[in-house]
Amino acid sequence: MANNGFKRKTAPLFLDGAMGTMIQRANLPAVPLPEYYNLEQPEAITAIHKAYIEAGADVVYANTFGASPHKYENEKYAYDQIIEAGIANAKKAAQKTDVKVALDLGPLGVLMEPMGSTSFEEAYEEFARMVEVGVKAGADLIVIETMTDLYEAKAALRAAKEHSNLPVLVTMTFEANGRTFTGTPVEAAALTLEANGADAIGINCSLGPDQLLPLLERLCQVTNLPVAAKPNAGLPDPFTGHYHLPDDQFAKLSKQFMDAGVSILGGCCGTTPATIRALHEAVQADQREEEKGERKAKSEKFESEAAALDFGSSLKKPRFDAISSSLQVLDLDGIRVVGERMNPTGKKRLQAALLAGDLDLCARLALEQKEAGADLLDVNVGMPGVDEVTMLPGVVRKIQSVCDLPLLLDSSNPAALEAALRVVNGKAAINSVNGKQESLDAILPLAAKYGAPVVALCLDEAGLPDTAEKRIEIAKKIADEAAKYGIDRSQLWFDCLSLTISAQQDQARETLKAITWLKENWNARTILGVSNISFGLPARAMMNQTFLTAAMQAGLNFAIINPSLTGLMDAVASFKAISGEDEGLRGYVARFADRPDLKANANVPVQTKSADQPSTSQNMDLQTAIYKGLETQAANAAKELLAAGKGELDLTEEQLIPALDLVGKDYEQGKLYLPSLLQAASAAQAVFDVLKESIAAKGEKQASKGTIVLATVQGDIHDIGKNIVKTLLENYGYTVVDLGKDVAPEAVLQVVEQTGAPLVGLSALMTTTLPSMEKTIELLHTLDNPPKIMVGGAVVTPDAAQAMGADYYCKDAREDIKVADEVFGSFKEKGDA
Amino acid sequence: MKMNETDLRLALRYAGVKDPDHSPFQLMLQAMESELEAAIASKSTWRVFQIVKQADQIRLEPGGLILPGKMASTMLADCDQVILAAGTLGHGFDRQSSLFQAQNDPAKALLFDAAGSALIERVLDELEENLHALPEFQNLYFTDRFSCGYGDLPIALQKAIGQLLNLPLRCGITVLDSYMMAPTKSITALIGVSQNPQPARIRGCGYCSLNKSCTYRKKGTTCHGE
Repeated sequence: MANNGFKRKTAPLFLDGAMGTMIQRANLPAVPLPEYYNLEQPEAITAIHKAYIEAGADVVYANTFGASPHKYENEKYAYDQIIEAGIANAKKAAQKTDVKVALDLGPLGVLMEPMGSTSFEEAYEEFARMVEVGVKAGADLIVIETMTDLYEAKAALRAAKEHSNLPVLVTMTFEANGRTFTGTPVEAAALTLEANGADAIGINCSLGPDQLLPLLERLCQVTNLPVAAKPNAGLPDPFTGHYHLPDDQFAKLSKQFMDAGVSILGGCCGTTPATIRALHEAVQADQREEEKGERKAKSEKFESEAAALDFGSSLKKPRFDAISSSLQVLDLDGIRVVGERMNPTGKKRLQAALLAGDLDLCARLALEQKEAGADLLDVNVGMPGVDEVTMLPGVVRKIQSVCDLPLLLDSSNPAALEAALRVVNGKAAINSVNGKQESLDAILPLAAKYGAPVVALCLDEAGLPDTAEKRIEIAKKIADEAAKYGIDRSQLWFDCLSLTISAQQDQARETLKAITWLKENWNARTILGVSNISFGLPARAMMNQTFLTAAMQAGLNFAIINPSLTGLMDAVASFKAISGEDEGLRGYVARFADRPDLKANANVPVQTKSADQPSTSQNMDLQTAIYKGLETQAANAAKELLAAGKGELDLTEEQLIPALDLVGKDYEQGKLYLPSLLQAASAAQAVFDVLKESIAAKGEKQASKGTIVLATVQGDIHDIGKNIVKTLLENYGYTVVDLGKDVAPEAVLQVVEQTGAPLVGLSALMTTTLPSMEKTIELLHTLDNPPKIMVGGAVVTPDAAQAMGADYYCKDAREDIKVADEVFGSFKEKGDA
Repeated sequence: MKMNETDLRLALRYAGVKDPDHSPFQLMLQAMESELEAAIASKSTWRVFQIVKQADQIRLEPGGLILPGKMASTMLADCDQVILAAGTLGHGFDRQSSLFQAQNDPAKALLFDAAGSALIERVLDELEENLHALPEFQNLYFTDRFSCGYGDLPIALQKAIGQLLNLPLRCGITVLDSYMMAPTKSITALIGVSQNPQPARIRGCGYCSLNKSCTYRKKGTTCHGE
């Protein structure tokens, strides 16, 4: 955008102050929602805007903060009427001035995934409808403000950019610790919003100007965009509700923001036209001083700041080259480990899970890799029978619900990549583009649209290049093509390809040569999958480790490896010590001091998971291990039994189930408490993992006792009880389709229809969510052949269960097993007859 | 936040461990200290409202919120002010809890959840103590703390309290349409302020809306100790 409205070379841009505070002061008759005034008291709203304009505001926010279709669904006025009137009131006030009118979008008041159940696309739709009305009504720009959830801010931003050509300012709300309530640090917000096309970003509300200053300094250090600040007038007095900071102090504190690099100033809760006037005057007084030459240094800084904003459509070199999840920022200088395990190629267990739509394994793979030391995760779901366009975003959502590592989205399908880029929370990267024209044309526009760095594979129509020179030639071609889309070379992570050394011995040297050239001449980022090098060779680990070390020495940035392989991670840790990245060798010492495999000079695999479990004799029998809840021992015992020729099914029926039954019995008799029961369940789960692995390796299908659908009902977000039930049912060999928490009755019905599950379990924790349990049961009973329904949860009683029409009341998780056995047992009998 | 002795015992009780003093899970809970510390970003807020008594109804000003029913009129019979308060352990707590579940560690998840239940009560206890120490409340007396859903005080008031306290912005708490709050370890409460000493009225099961279905009561214990 040539002139996005946020660029001022010589003076800051002034926003307005609070609308709510002014409405309160106007003593207007009470209304259900503040946006009602747009239609019921238009003169009063216009007068507020006018007062801000007279005080010096260059931009006024229309009174549309909460005007979402959802909020106005059952109100006297529709959201579009409210927005149209809001914009019209502001435009009336701005008549015959240069003042711009902003469509103001606040949070929707819903809870986004993964904490709540509002999806990215649902939020996006809400915002898109508001944007469409605002554009039609003649807004000059769009402001997204007071966002505490980065995911919601991204949805609003994408909706604004994709449904208008207007400049968009996004301001979020942070706590004094520099994080939003959902945990997003200032830097992750900046990276994500900049990547998704914000024209200016900033901070508003929550804190006073004094507390905002350090956060604004951090923000200005990581973005090229103009930065806005709209603080509160201090904090509200709990006795009166009034904000306490006097206008002159607000102005004095706020103008310091300009030294940090802020170029857009205004006020939030508690501020008034008098505040904005004071701010305006304080800044002007400073500028008069500057003109006298007294504050020249600062002026020069501001000029260069403004000049930096003017590169418009030229290449975007980020001020802070990093990627992020919503919670964690990954600085890209140095060597970074890309976890490669989330890829079904050659992994039968993961293949089976993906085909069955069971994403729990993906979440665990992500967490295991994080624990092993991965810095970011490659996510690939490409395999026959899987629709990547739905699966890739599905797995991304699953992983980011539990794991805070940034992601590298890996697919050859552009539609799948785009679907994943939309739902990713944070700034992700793409794997990959290559030198083929078809790939360049499909992938580079995505990288530009979502601000995502992209892995650039140095191969093209001619295939794999056999010299370093040819690799570099392709790298140049990709860089030139990327420049056409405004993608800076720093956003390309070149992959110089590692080939199998046993087939083409000279290629390892060529790969390293290309990495060296790219590092020395372009200071480019490079990435490499290491393990290809050693195919067909003995001692692959040794070869991989040596090649990785050589590549790091050549300048490699990203090693795509399995982080659970100790040797490779050891090489990375050692290299960081040598390169100086690991300052004071703290990481090195922490990794290697006291490591048992090194002490005894023995080749013992490093155990991480069992650290919190008491050590016991290695050959504990399976049933004892399960009873005692010892995961590792139980898994080992199961492996031994399998190795000795025991069948998976026999092992389940003769050992696993009897052990669980004993635990269950002792629990019921009060000999064991709930945590012990759960530890035994975890151990049984570990055994199940061993069995699943073994079955998948043989290419067989996992036997199941039957399918059960579980859900925590709509409105209810406590799911620990339901998850316990799920674990136990799985222990006993049932297939559980877990719909999660806050599940709409219709969603339960749909899945029951799809799966034909004969049993459904519903959980509710509050009296207020019992009606949705009842509604779900009613809906399921409309089926010709309804499933049996079991219910449970803190507030459910046998009487309530019966009154709702449930077939079974379960007082605890053990009861669910009995119900399942009864339901499926009778099925089996019927089938046998 | 760190668990003290009382929190620990309470948490074990919540997790279904009957003899907290002789349980291996005491160690397991203690070992979670760093995770609790990292996951909890507790936050609380409060505001004072004036009580206007109208016929047998209680209205709060500013804002005009009506507190219907016997619970409110009994508790606030002798008060001219009420403090609306809220506290939360934050979303990080819920996140860590789902992480334990994703890692196939339901026992840890259960104990962690129980620790959260104990700690969120303490957040409110500490807030109340701090309030009591304020000069504005010198020589004044507090009623027992009570919440929507106790006795006949409608849970539906949760929404209005959320708005009056601006909970999304002050504490990051969202009140859902079901009146459940997110983060899950969040509490809203009312504390009456009086010129006269106030009797201890609650902390008894008779006032709890779960008193018919409570699993602790069925087992002959209570959620709050003996």
